[in-house]
Amino acid sequence: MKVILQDIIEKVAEQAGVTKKLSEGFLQEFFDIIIDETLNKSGSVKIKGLGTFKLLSVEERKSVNVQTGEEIIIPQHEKISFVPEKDLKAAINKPYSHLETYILSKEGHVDVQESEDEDNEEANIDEGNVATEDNITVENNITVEENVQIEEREVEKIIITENSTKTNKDMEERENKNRKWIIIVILLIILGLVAWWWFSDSKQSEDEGTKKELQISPEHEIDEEVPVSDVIIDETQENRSAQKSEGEVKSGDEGEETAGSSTPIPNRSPEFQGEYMFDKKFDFKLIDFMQANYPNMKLITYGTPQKVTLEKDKRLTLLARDYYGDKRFWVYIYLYNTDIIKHPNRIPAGMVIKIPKLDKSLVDPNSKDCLDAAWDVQKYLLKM
Amino acid sequence: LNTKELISELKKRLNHDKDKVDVLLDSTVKIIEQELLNNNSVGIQGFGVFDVRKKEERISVNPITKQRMLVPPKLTLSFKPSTTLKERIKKVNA
Repeated sequence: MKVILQDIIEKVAEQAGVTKKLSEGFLQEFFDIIIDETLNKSGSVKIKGLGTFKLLSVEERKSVNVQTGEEIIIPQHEKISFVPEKDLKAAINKPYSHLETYILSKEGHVDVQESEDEDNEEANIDEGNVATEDNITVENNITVEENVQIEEREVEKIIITENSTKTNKDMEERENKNRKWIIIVILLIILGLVAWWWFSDSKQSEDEGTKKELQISPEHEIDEEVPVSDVIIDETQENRSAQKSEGEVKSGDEGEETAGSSTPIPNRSPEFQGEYMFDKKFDFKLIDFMQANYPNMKLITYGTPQKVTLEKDKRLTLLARDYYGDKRFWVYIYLYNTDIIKHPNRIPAGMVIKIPKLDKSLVDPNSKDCLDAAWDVQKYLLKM
Repeated sequence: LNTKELISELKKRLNHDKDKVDVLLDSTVKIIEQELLNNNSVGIQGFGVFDVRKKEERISVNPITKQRMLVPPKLTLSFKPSTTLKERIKKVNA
């Protein structure tokens, strides 16, 4: 919405307890002074709580006429600049203030290699790594897992910093040899982390999901049959967690793994009896399309969906990144929530979104096919 | 020109006492800030438009270390001078 001077005049009059005429005169003088001071005395105007206005000179530079391709010279000129005050800046950015810059893996080709390895079902070198890590996560409790992760991150950081500080040419020969090894090590660590993260996250979220369900919402919105099985699920869950504390987890978890299908679905366990077709949410054309082009992808969900309250300025893409590892998978969250979301770009804050647990064959952030599929679904949705 | 000088200048031009100018300036700044925080753009005729813009997240590369960084999206305050103000700037120069 746009606010004009007239609105400001009225509000100032109201807040300062003066007549409109007076506040109008004040505001006019206020902006006049800013203009006069910045222009004529070539100074800057600093207003507390707002920022600084300043006249800057822009040097002459060459440019190209976009239409004719002709080279032109933009002469030296002045422009007015406004730099907001720090506090105001922070206040405006508050919705995003929790986000931080983070460092991506150094090598550009890491992603590609990773996805290739994933396709091979992590068969080759990394087998040992992943296997041992899974054992650790299964046998120990969460705190140990976290330690493992933190240690690995530290190792990663050290490697990266080492890598970047070695710039001497003398070192180059050695470095080249080292680099290969470092790349391999980084790859292994990342793969391990991805596997671990995926494994544990889905487990945790599922725990939280079922608990929330029971505590908060007596009314269930998913399926008629699910609530019944849900109660049972939660009981088994409690039993299981009790078992865990006694240290008898191992047998149970191994049982799951052998019982699971050939594709590794980490959280496929006896609890997931409430499995039903996700494609209820798709329309027929889309199902046909998916089956024709991506026959390997299973359009099913497991268990009860996790409920998330949408914060202000949080979008489906961000949720998709948090829960599935890539923002392109937002389409599935949308499709799952079409009953409440009218338009994916206009979701009121505070809406409770259900995040379905999807099969890994559908939402694997490392698989190009999955990303392509999500992209195709998005294109389809946009056409609608 | 800082806030103190601005207040005395306003006082001189308007013939008000200092307290009144203080209150007016304070509420003006607060109201503009409030409007901006409510995601409204504030347009002042003859002066310009204050606007909150969203900058999308992006990947930036440190040219020396080749390190890739994911810079998060952010909301920034931008000020666009109006055409009349731009004209005046040109005139001052000429």
